[in-house]
Amino acid sequence: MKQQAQTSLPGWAGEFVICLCLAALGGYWVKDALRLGLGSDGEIGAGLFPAAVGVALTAASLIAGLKALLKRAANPVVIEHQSLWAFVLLAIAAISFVFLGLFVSSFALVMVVLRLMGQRSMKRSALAGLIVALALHLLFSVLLGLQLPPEIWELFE
Amino acid sequence: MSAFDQLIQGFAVALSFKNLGLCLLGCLWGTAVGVLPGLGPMAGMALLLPITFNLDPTGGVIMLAGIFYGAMYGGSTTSILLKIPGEAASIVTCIDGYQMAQKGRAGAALSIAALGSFVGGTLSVLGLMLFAPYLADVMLSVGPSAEAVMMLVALLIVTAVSSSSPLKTFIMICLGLLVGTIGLDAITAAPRYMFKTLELAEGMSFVALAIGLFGLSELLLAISEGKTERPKVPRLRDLIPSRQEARESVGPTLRGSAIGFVFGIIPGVSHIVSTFVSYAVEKQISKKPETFGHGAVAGLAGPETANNATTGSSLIPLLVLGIPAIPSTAILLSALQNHGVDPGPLLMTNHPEVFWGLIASMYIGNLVLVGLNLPLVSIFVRLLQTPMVYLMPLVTLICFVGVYSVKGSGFDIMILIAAGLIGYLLRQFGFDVAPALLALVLGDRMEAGFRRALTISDGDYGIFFHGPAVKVFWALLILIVAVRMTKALWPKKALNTHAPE
Repeated sequence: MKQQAQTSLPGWAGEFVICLCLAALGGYWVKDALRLGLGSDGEIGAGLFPAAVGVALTAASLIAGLKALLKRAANPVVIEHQSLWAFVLLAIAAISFVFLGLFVSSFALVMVVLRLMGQRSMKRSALAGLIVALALHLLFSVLLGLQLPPEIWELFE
Repeated sequence: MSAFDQLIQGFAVALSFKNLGLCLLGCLWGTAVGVLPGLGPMAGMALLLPITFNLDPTGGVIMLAGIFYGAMYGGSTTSILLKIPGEAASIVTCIDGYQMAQKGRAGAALSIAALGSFVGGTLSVLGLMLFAPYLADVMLSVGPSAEAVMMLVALLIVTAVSSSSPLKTFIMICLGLLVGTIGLDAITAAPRYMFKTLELAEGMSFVALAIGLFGLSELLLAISEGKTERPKVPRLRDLIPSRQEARESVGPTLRGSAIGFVFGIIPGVSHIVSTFVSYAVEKQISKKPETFGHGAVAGLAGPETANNATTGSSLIPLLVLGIPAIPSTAILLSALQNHGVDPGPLLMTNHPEVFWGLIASMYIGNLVLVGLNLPLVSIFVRLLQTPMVYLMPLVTLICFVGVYSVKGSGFDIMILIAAGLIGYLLRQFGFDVAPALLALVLGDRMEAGFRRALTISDGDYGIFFHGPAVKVFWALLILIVAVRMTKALWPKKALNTHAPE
């Protein structure tokens, strides 16, 4: 993660977009709540509570969005590209954890992070990855017997 | 036989070599799972539950209770040093505990948290022993309408605690309630917002959301802020709080004990709510509210004490009524039932050794935990003194393991990742995610109370204004609103000039 790149966004614009998304989410909740039914006296429908919450979320988000738009406060928010790359890395690690198991994902994640963070030796990174993978496998899988995704070698059994 | 005599007998049971060993094992394991992010008391207890099947009921329940309150203790360590709550109830500890650590007062913060936890835990066990039968009766009389209003009060309190503006906090509360409606409807079993995904039948995993919104988003923010420093291991002499810090922590510790004890009896997420309430109370009565969020001793001591004070009182509904107040005590119930011991009003007469042995072991356990958390804190901290480059993947992998091991669901891992990104973006733009989490856990009960009350009243909303308990909660609600409005209309000069956003 050597990149120092960053994107600066006006805070109000981010807030406005988030509020719009949340207002849309609330609106969708209300729409589906009406399909579920609000019920009648003595028989309360499954949609009543979600509808009430959806209306509240939509209204509050629209007000907050409008406030952000009118105020346009100069409070830039810096999004580091490192964070976004880290997120991509975590997402890949999560997928590999589910499909390839703890051992492979921990080995790969530690190795990749070490390489990205400046550990120049490939051998050292691989060794550290192997040690962490073994330790985690022993602790969680062998010693504690936790419910974990099947390891890669189990897939071929 | 008086309660005192029975307690003496309980100590005889708890101080047997085997039970003492089990108590120590439970406390050690509990502290470790509390320290490690992603593993909370519930996962820690669930992991060792099978072992209790080979023990006698007293030994089994003593060990599980040790894990329960040990995790409450341990959760504060990661909150203070890394701003990552080891378990949900440590969220509030992150606010001022972490700020104290940033100012070089990590040792004092850990000591204040440990001593507060000891006082809160011990006083609540004393309360459990004295008031168990009476207090349970009072809480049973709270009807569904009062329960719904009570939840509303709890959520309103959150707006006072949150670091973002009241409007943004309200939005986050609504978002939490909204997510809480996902899954099969508890009454009609109608699928709600499941998008034809079976994994959502039981709702979104709270563990995945909590770890994603807090743990992963914190990691992403740490990278963003270039926060690569290691947590510093405090030296033994640094653990002693200054005279002023000690003085400032006395009041909040005592108030936190009372708040934690009272909230512990309320079934649901009492230990989480109690920490927020304690923080709000301390902030409201403080002469320097502007210091909250910047390392206020009261903001650490109160919530941390309240958190541990709930452990004793949350056992009241379980031991006296057989109703688990929180998920962790449900595991205790399961362990007891596996041995043919049914908790309830007859537990004290049919199995006095279990009831009084557990109470005595909790006194001992609290002492053991102070012994663990103060002198051995550096050992626990060393676990975390791994460089960020190792810590990042380790925390991530532990989060994955913690989330996956609950239900064995890969879908929950995807929720975790999505929650991490959403939490990161929301926090970047000034939305505090803690209220959303609290609303998520309270939402179920709020909706259940709301619907049951309306069903009873044939759709008459007037039911939410009848009954003494309801009126008490409304009075509390009005009081909170009045205080907030007063502060908004007549802000203190100090707040005007120095208050942080």
